[in-house]
Amino acid sequence: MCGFMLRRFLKDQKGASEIVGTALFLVILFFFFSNVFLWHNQITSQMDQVVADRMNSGIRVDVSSNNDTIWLTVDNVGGLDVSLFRLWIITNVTHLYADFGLDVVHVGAGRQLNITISNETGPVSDGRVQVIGDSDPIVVRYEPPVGYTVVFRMITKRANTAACSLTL
Amino acid sequence: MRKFRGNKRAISPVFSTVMLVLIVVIGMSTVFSFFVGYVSDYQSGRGSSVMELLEIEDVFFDPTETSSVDVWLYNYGEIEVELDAVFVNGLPVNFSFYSASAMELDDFDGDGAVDILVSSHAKYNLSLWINWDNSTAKSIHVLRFVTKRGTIVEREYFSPEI
Repeated sequence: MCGFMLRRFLKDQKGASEIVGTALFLVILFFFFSNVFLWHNQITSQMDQVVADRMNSGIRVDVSSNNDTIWLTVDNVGGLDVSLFRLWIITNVTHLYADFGLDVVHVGAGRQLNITISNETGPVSDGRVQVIGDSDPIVVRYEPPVGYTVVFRMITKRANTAACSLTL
Repeated sequence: MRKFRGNKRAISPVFSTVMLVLIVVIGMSTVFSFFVGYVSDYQSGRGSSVMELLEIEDVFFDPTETSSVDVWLYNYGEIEVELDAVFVNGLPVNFSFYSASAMELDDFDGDGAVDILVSSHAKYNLSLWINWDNSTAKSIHVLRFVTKRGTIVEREYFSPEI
């Protein structure tokens, strides 16, 4: 009985083209959508890694001063090396920044970097103050105004930020 | 027309096969090109929005210019970003980028609008509807940036008392 049914099924060729066409269509569809899916999966994984790296590369900034010197201490409190990108120097009336450049100033995991704030403001171009040096010691040429609170905010390449303030 | 309708003879099998093949090839080519274009648009557009990461780096409420706000944006993602709209407290505002930061911007896709390249900063000026020091204005301002690919970055900022 079973053999008879199988023979009849194989002999009957009606509708074969529809089956072949549908199968081909599904294969083509699968081919296209699997490409899109794999691409999306790849960039999602890539960006997950970027976000994870950002979470693992936090910094802390502290400001200290004695009579004639002000310096910032940048602590890398994360597990990854950090590249410092920009230091914002903010008062109520001005927002200036010091650019360290891309991938120039690094702070290793668990390490510290001191940045000296010099007592004289150098040339300022479009809100950008001058930076001298790219490793310890780094000097930012900015003289904080007396009587104002100055906020120092550091931003890293991975867009982590940390801030501290000082009132002279 | 009558001759055509009255003619009961079919077209030849060879001709009909050729026609069928042509119709299938043309149809599938159309579908294929549409699909390739659609996927390409998706990958360069909305699909890439997951690669956009934008940080509002600094917001400056300048006491000498209370009708506008200066904003620095930082693109730390993996793809260039194009700003499409900016909202302040829910209202759309006009925005323009500062030419001083133009060296860090470029018209990457050639559509005439400015793109913030990867690992670049850009400074924008937002024109407010109500001066931020106006007595009726709230001291807290919600800034929302919408990119062309649909990424939204929103933060709250306090304007200083002057």
